[in-house]
Amino acid sequence: MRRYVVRRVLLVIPVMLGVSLIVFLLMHFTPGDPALLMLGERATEEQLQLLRQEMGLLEPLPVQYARFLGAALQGDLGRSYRSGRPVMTEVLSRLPATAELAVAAVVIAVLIGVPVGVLSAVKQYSLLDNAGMLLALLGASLPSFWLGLMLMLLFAVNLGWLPPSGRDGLSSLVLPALTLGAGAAALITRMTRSSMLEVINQDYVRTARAKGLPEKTVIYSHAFRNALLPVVTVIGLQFGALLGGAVITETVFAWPGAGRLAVEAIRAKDYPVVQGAVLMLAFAFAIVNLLVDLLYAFLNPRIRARYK
Amino acid sequence: MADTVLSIENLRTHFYTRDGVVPAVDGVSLSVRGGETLAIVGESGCGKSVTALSVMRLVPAPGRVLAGSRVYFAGLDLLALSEREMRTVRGNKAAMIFQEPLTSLNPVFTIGRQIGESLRLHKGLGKKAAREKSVELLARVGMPQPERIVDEYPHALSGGMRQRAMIAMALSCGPRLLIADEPTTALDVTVQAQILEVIRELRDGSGMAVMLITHNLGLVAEMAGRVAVMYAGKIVEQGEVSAVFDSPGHPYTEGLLNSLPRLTGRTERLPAIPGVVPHPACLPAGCLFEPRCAKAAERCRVERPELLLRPDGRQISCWPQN
Repeated sequence: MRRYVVRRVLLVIPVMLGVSLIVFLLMHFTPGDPALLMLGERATEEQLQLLRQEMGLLEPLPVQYARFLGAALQGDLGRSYRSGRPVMTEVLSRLPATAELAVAAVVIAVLIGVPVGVLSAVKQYSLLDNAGMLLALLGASLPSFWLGLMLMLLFAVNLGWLPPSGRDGLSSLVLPALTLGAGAAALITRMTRSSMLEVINQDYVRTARAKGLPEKTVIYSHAFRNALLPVVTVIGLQFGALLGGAVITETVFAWPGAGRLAVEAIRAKDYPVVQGAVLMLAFAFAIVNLLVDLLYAFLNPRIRARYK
Repeated sequence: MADTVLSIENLRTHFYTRDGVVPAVDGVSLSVRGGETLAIVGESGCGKSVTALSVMRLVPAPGRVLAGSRVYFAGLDLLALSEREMRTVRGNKAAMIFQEPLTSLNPVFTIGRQIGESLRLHKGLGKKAAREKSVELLARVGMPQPERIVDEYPHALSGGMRQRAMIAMALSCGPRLLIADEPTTALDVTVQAQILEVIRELRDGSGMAVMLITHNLGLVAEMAGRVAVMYAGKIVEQGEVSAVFDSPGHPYTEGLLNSLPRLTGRTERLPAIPGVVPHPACLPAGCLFEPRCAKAAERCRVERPELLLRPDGRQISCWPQN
């Protein structure tokens, strides 16, 4: 098990290297001159050249990347063009809000997706199954900006039960988390259903029945534990995607998260912040995936055994 | 003579599929006594496994045991029991082992937990007692290092070891009936012999009845006292193994025996039974075996023979002129 953990942790390194390189190149090839952006239209060519030199923009690309990487490893992601504050501080101040939203969305998605998926499978082709699958189809196909606005209209504007936007306590979390979690819930429902259906027909489920176990134990202990394996992977991937994919939801609900920070930074051509936000979100994604893989190994004795 | 443990009367289990009704088991009657092994043989799809699952009331949808079928086991009318009552029979008084030891054990639970589960359920044992008893059971079925194996997961065991674990699980509560559905088909020949030896010892030691389902006639000769030959959902011949093998009364039994390879003498082509099992949706009007039967006469084409008891105690469903 320890070997597996070490292996998985080490695998994060090349992933992060790749992400940093892509982010770096993307920013570099984006049209627009950072020096011009900082000094404004009226700056002279000399001033611009001086600033470019200061910022290291005149050095060869690999050198620039090495500098960027070296600094990033020490927690220095540069300074925001707009605020002048360190990017690290900016992003870190926004990450908790994003994490909170993503966790809430995943919790909602799991609480809806897993039970509905299991029931759909156990009562295949029943009314409940059909209703569940229809909901899943809706959840997967409604765009989040539309769903967000509709939820806001209904629960905040018309009913007045929940605040329409902002981040102020648990009640303000409900609507954005629902919006963000809907797609994940749909995916988890479908995954759980198909995984359960596959497992229910396995020989060992028949063995469990032949033992005289009550149907509940057969389904929820013998079948569910096995069906959970692929579902855990999907939940983990979804969680990672939600961390980075909260951009639209955060914008709709004026949620002060890292996704919105990135959008604001892109609009303002604040490249260091964009770079920092993307990098940090990617890092969070990688960490979440690492945790999921470890959980998977914990649940699956076959993986554990391979790395004994 | 020991008591009859299991008695099946006119068992009919049909599958209601989209393409029509499939009479997988159609009027099967048989009985097994304590300490005895009854073998059910036949080709794939002849209904032997469905017969076993019907006894355990584990027939998967869309299959259904029809009204009028009777299954008596140890004084109980199994088909009349509630599902809850039936659960106290399954795994407890009547246990079953399956063909595929590789997939019949749950991959995410340890062997000990899976054996102990039956003990805790039916015998009310605690966790610790169940584990100790599991080790004991594993030792009894000849599992090497039972103390270690009890904490292993199925993937760490070979096919033979898994089947031993399955048997230990089936025997955990001291059943009066063991249904073994092709217990050795998936195993190596040497392992097969070991597993059979385990089953035989346990049968002789405890006086439990064994219903052995197989297509392997060698296995029947070695293990069983009596044999029922099934074809297309019906029993076509039933009797003592020695008698049936010495002088098969039904052309189908004869065909099965003839298609066995022999070590003596030079073999040319093995005689195979021509044709295939008839499709359940279009069964012949007369004898079900008639289209494949070398001895078929005009009467066989129009009239279906009953399974009749002969003076020597054998049951054969074939017209007398054959």
